[in-house]
Amino acid sequence: METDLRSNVIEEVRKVVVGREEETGLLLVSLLARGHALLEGVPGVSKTMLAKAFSKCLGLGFKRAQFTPDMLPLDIIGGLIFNMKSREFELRKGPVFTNILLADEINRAPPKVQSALLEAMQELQVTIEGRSELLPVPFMVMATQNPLEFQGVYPLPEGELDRFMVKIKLPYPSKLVESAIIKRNLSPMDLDAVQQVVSQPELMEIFSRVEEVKVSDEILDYLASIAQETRSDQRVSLGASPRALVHLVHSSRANAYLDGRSFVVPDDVKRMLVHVLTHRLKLDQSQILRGSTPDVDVLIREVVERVKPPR
Amino acid sequence: MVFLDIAIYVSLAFGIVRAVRMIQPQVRDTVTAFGFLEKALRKKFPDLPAGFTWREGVERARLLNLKVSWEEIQGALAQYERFRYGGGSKPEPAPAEVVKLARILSGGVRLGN
Repeated sequence: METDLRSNVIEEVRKVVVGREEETGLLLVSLLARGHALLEGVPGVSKTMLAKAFSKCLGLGFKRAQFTPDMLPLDIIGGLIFNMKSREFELRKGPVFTNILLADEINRAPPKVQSALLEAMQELQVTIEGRSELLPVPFMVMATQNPLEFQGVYPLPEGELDRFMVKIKLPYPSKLVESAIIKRNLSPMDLDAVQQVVSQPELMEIFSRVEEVKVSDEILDYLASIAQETRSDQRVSLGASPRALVHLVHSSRANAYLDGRSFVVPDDVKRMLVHVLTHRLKLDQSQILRGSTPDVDVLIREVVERVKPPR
Repeated sequence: MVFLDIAIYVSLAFGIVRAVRMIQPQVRDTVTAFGFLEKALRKKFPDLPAGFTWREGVERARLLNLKVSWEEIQGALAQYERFRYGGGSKPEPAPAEVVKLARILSGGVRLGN
């Protein structure tokens, strides 16, 4: 059932998005761990289609919000609108009221709009005119981000970045995959081809199963040691936060479940580590200027290889 | 005659030393077996980082195409993981294929070294 779920989701998404199996698997881990995902890649690497197909095969509600520089928080969470007919204020819910919200190009919106998502992401509710409204369950923000070198982008504040469980990088596809993408696009893309692989009650059952996945004390110590190691590394100015560890343990659980296990092994942690830490670690600027710091992902891998897992 | 005696005794002594080095203690306990495997992996692959996991170590050994049953080793590893990280009962007896793999990798290293 567990491993079937991963392969079934990947199989369905593959019908419309070619060569994104790894990324699809990570999205599933993030969803089952009740986390949010940050997708980073240049325009045109199937980020939106991936999100749509993923939501469809899980039978989840999906909405997309295109973030722009002139956007207001109201455009995301909604607000009270005066109804001329009934002469009353009515709640008009924003696109955040869905299961999967695709926040497209999140870093094009000004910080106050980005912050509007914070409450939704953390508390699973929004406050409109002092009234708290619960969001549907499950709720997941899938935000796409353009690389910072692009024009007209605002960097996401660390506090908001920390709320994303994983960052999934979507690089350009290989030549072989690119040929397949072009071939696929010769005929119209049909999202209807994507079939739902799990029902809503089954999905809810899976969420509770993931929460039952055992994490031994030694694995918890291992996680803490990794965090300490990131903080003591001279090349890092901001190491892993406690929230990062919470996200790491939840995502490791979801990965263990999808691998058909009822307990977490060090390999689950190692598999999720780069995706959970890559957007959280800040490298020391002086070391970067000296050119002595590798890419952050390489650094994370170096750090974890210095920490002995429980054996 | 003296030279012949010396040659016989020297070869006998050499044979005894070699035999002693080849003698391996019986591994009956699963934890000891995996401890032995860890030591053997470290000896065979000195470049293995401190952070290697069982799966990574076993995968590395697998590339050597050794004559062991990888299926049995994977099964034993899964059981050991269940015991080690999942609170399952300790699998007994010690998995023979894991011990065999450790012996092949260590090339005569004795337990307790």
